Amino acid sequence: MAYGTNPDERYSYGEVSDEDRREFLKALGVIAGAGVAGATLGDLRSEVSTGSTAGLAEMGESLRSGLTGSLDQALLTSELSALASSFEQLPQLQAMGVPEQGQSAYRELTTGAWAINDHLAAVGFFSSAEETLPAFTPEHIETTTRQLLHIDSLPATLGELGFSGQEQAALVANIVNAREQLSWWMPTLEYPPAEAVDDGVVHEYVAPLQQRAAEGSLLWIDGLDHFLWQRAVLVTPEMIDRGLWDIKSMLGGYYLLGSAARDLAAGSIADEHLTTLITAGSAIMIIAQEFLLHDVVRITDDKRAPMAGAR
Amino acid sequence: MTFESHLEELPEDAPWHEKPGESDIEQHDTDQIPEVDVTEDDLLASGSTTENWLMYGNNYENQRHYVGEEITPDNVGQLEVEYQFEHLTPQNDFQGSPIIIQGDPPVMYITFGPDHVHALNARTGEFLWSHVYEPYVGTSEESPSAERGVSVLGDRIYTSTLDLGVQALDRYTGEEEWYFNGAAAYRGEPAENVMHEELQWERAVGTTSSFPPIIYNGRLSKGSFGGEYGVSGFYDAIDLEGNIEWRVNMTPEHEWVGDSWRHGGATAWPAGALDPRTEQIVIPSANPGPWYGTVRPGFNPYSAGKVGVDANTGEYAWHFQDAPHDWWDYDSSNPPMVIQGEIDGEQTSMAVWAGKTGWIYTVNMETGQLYQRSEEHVQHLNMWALPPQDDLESAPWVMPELQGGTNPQASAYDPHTQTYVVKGTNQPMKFSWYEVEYEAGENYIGMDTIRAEPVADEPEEEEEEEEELGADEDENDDDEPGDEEEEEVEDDEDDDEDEEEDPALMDDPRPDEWNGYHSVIVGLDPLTGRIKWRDWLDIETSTAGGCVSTPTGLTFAGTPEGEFVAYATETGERVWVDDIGVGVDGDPIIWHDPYEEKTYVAITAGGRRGGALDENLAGNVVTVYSLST
Repeated sequence: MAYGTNPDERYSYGEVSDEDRREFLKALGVIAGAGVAGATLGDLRSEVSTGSTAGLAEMGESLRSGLTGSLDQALLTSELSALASSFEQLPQLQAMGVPEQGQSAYRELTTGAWAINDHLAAVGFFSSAEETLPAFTPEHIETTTRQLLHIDSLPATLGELGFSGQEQAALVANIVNAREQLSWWMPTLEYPPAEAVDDGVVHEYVAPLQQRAAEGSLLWIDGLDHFLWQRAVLVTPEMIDRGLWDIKSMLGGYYLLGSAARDLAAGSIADEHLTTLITAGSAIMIIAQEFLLHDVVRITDDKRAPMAGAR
Repeated sequence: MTFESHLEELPEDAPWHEKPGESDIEQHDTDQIPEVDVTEDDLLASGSTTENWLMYGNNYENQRHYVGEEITPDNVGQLEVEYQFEHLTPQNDFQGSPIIIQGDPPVMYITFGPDHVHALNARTGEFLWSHVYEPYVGTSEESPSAERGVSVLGDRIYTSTLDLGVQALDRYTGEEEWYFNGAAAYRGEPAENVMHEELQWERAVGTTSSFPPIIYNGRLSKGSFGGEYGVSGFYDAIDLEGNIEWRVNMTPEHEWVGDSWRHGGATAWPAGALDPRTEQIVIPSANPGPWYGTVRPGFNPYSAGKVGVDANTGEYAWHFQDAPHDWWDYDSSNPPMVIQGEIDGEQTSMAVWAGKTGWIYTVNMETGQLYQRSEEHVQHLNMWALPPQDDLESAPWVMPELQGGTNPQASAYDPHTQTYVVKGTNQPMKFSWYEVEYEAGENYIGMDTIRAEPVADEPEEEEEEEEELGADEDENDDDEPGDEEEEEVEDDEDDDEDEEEDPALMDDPRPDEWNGYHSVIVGLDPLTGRIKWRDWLDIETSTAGGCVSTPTGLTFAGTPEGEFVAYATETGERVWVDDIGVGVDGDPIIWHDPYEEKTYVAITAGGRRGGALDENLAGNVVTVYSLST
């Protein structure tokens, strides 16, 4: 079976197993021995060198110069704060279980992110990212992941959002360990040649990669109130738990992307970090939404709540 | 996210009444057709009377249940062939359900592909008139054009045409009263010529369908098709003079990323149902496009499921997706049915349908909440496994395949025994996706597929297991793998063709888990979700066509190898079988003729082209049985 068709493999739910950690390190050129204890960002960072950052700064610079409007630092700061507060709601969602009819608890998680999203779209952020950043090739994932591990502020940023040390490592490991599925998400500009179709409709109708990552995540989260209520007869607490990790990951990925934009507005981010955070944030959102589908949306008989005949 | 109304704005300057094609009418002894005024009250009563079969599913609820008690398990063997009507050219274009209008004689109206409508003396099969419409976009000669019948009201019958239109025909003469051009506007833009350019392509298998409109409260409503051509779906309501009233956009823009909605599919090609109690229509919706999902993240509502809308206004009521963000062509093509069930002590309308996903869904009509998902009615294997990219050879075998589960085969319901009888396809398939560009009028799928080779030996009998299944309380009762025999299987609704020497099959011709049966007919309780019986069909292709039930405990259904079977509805026992000799892909109907004191059972046979069937089983024949009562 080609890798990528069985999502159970190589995905960490908030805790990186020894096997997943070994796979992660192997992908980054580190041959881990039998002793693979410890899996925080610090542990991973200590084993992975920064490597080459070739091109990341140039990409960031091009992205910055490709914006068609001005980033609003105040708006981004404010809405990032709203987004950060969404993480505090996750335990309540777990306690709530299946939503009642008409509830909007999941949808409320994304209010801040949608405001950021609308602003980023309006200033050409996604378009510029699409023009600038490469596809999720193994090389690009490796380069950006090495760089991501060595961003000093990353653990603190994620920690403030409520990601434990194990969860922080899981976020990063999932980028690398689910890289094949990630590679399926091609940049719009790599779609079949525009001259093969009428008036370049391919580029017209496929949204930029980072926009698909971001808005796809928000659409999935927004739909869960309805989806879970509608399928209450099938839903189990395990689905809720796993789904909440996927949601936390998506919101975390969105926060990294949004915070990079905020820091860009403030002029306080290095170009290579801009590239790294946008790439990593998008990757996290893509992988998490793929696994949300696996964990919550596509309910097989062996996962569903027991069927007890007429209810 | 809100699922408010998604009604489109409709341009007044579109060529709504311009007909993009020509008609040819042939008339014979049309004076035989009695003048009978068919009213909306008659339509409402269609399922509760014995002399008419006035709509596709017999009643608005689509239950395909005949209320007469003339045919019983004891006398079903006395059914005799009253006549057969053959329509020879082209062959294999029967997939629908005739309607019957009472009178002396009763008249049968029936469709063939492409865009043929015939009126027959239902008592003798005498040919009275035909109306053949030829849309200028053309139709494929290689594939059936999937005509599924007509609607009736007053002195007219109405047909959905293969170019997305509706024709109103004088039902006494076959002459045209008006034509509604459903391709006159698209996404709010009027066509520059007669049809919008993105809705023009040769009509072919899997992308063409003509289900009869629903007629209710002074308007007709019908869906669209072409999901594999990169269109976005819509569902129209028009008044009785062919004027557009409202259009539901099946790919609401704000629920899709970027402009992916524009080619998002979610067409509404199969038959809908209507619940007169709630005045809601249940619209079946097709798969999203393209098949691979990375360009359209999110749920992609309303694709691959059902959408409940107000029958008068089109306003959104609810939606349910069988396969959110589908990758496997699991469009929800099975005609929905409305039944009554008890929820919290109250009689409640439920929508029931069989998914291509291999489960039967029972949904509260008032809220859209899932009440029950049944046990699997076909085998599941690697369910929801994502297809790899450009790697068909190492792709996992997946069941159900793209035909299902259940495709547009119309199920029947017996309210007395609370038994839903459904046909299913039980074949393994591999999927592998590739990037595809959109081009107007061209396929927009992006998926390679191949089916397992047929089993070499006879499938093992599974009677013991099936007996256990009925009483087993374990909801995950999987089928044991049987010995496998194989044959090449063709897809009658898909363009992808198998090659015996395909590398994808060389080392992996079929999965061990497959029981070897390609098709199945199943009886189950849609409220408990429990399967009562299964008749695995030892045939070499998928089964198509629908069923009809009676209050005397019989359900009639056909098989692709020419059998027409009467089952005991509650147990699945084969009470009577006749060999028609032509693959039975149509939907059986029953009516009583009080003038002759006979009860008739009609079945259309011969609905597929291509290699799926033995050539001996090709044809186009309506077989009408009778029983003196």
